[in-house]
Amino acid sequence: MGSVRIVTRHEFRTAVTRPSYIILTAAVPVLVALAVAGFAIFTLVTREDAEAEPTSSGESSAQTPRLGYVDLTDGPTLFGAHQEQPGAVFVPVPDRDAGIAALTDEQIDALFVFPPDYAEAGTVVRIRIADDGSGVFGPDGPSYSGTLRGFVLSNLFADQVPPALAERLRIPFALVIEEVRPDGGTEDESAGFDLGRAAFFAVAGISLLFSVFFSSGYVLNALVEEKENRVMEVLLSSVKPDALLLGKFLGLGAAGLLQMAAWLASVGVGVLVVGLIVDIPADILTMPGIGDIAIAAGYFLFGYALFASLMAAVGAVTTSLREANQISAIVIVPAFIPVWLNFILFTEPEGTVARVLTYIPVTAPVTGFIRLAIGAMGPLETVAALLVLAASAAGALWMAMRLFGAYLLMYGKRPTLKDMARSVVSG
Amino acid sequence: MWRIFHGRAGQLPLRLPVMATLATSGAPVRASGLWKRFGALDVVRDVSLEIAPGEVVGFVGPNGAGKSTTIRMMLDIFAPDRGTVEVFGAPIDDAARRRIGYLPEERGLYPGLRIPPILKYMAELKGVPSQEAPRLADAALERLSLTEHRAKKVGELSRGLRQLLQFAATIQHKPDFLVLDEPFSGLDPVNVRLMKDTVAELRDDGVAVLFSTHQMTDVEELCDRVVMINHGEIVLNGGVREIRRQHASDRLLLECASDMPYALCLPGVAAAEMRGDGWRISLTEEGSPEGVLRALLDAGIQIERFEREAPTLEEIFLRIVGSSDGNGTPDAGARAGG
Repeated sequence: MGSVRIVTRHEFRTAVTRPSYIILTAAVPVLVALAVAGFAIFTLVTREDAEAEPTSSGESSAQTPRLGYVDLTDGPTLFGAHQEQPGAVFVPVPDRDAGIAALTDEQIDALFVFPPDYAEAGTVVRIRIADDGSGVFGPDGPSYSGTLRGFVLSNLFADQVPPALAERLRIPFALVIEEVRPDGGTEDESAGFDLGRAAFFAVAGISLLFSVFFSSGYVLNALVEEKENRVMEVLLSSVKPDALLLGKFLGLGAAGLLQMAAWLASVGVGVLVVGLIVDIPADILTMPGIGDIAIAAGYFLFGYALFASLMAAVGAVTTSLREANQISAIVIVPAFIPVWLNFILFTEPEGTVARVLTYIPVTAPVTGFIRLAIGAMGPLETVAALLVLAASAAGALWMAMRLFGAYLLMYGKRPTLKDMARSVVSG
Repeated sequence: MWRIFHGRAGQLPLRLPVMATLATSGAPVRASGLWKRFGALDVVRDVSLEIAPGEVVGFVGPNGAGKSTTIRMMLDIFAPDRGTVEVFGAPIDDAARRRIGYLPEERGLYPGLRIPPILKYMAELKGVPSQEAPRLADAALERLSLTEHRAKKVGELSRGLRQLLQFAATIQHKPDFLVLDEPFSGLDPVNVRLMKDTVAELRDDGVAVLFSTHQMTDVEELCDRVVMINHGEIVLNGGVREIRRQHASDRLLLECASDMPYALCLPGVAAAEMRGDGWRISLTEEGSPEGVLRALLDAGIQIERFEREAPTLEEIFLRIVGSSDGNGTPDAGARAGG
């Protein structure tokens, strides 16, 4: 164990003191700080504008809007009542010129003209003062179309339908969609959905993706660099291959987790700061349960062991960093399949595709986190998926150690698949 | 226990702690009946080898002969298909591994790191306590005149200095068994001498040294014994002088103070050829050096030099390798298994 500890410490120190690691680790906190600062500045500026708007747009705007109207319709007056509407007051104006004068003097906020043929044509004219350059968005202000609609309907049907029905006429219906099962039963979709749990697994899943790929990438780079630098043989004269590999896994995994912790901490601080500026659902800010933390830790641990082992296997059989990075795509690309198929996972989280991806080792971690975030994985399925992932990680580690021992000192020549299979089988 | 580390002229000797000493065991490093097969090729076949404490054994052979594979099996980097390795009387384990220093032919260090952390890491892997490692590293750097480069990154050093640094990393923990694979390649004569002197000092301190090289002159200079391997088999094993004597020819080298116009008339002489300042004499089947010498003395010839012509190790090497495969070209598995 002494050798493992020494290798672990060396790998960790070497990794965290690399300029690329430091820059990458600092990048997320810096970006979060910039984003939070930008958000704060934007929020403060828009809030000030909202508070300043009533005083800057004239005295009348501070009160209930006054909407002038000219009723030129033929016959009896159509619009003589119901001038008090929610959010506005309609003010009758004798004629068009008087209305324009009132609008110009800001005695009214808008002017509508009901022409003589309104009953036949349904046209209402809104008179606007031509752009005087008073603002970026023009002088129009609100459209008041909803208020106008209420005013017109109230007057047209005021004496012909009961008041409750008249109110209904203003907003004829509100469409609500209800889904039922084939047996006619209903499901309340909001029941059982835990926003805090969803947020936890969503963040943990994204973190897993980054952490696993960065950390296992570090393992790959460290191995191939030592092959390229010809340090490997010196190391192998001092430490057994399995101890060397284990030390690298632990040291570089710790470096990756430290990086992830720094990123998550910066995101957490960013969320808290944003919470001081705007309201954030309290569920998001609550601590996850022990069980959820254990599940996330299991996926992290076994996921990292799996991908780091696969990367180590790639590093063992390749001859250069460039070649290793190209071949590592065989490992990385399948891990993104759940991301590409996210629409299936979200629409059918308990469907066949989702269940199959949950048990395929390279897709299991990301799929698991997505389904856990949705709340589509029960305890039994979660435990089974973790066991399968753990067994796969152990198998990958065993295979990596076989290949590591067989090909680490092979320079300039890549083994064939047949060679590799033979090495894995025969050791 | 402490061991004196002699510096160069004008330098103070350094006292270094020694983790384990040969004096306590006295047992040799022994490989018995090693076999190793890569694919369909037996790269090493029934190789047995023994190195006593304080002995430098030259391990020679053409490219692809099986030297590196044998070395790797002796260091437990490769597991032999058959055969055993004992280091100081016990199968190789973590404790034995810490008593070994290995400078492989394919060697390198971390180019992006500075020298102290690299030496510290290498020392710690050899069981040196963390707090002790910097002092040992400094001593090794001073011994190899690398102190002025201490703060540099490996990538900033010249190839020769990198090689010296690697040697420092190999010996800093005071190994009891030192394996050097082509240690002098790429070094200038000054640094070759520095490294040879250091190896000689280590040998004098009781370190068993296995020295793999293609340079026969280095073997003649440094080694007590030479083991030659070809096609995975030991083809020669013995003391350097003994081997040269065994391969001595039937020719004599003769230099006289006075003229000797009648060399051909000497008893037992088949042919005589004037070469430079002397004669090169070939004997008949019945002839002997003693008979020729007696005849010369009886004739009152003043002799300045009289010796039986012995081939150099290089000539012996070429003769043996040439008789078996001609050119000693690398075979399959040379890169992986050597």
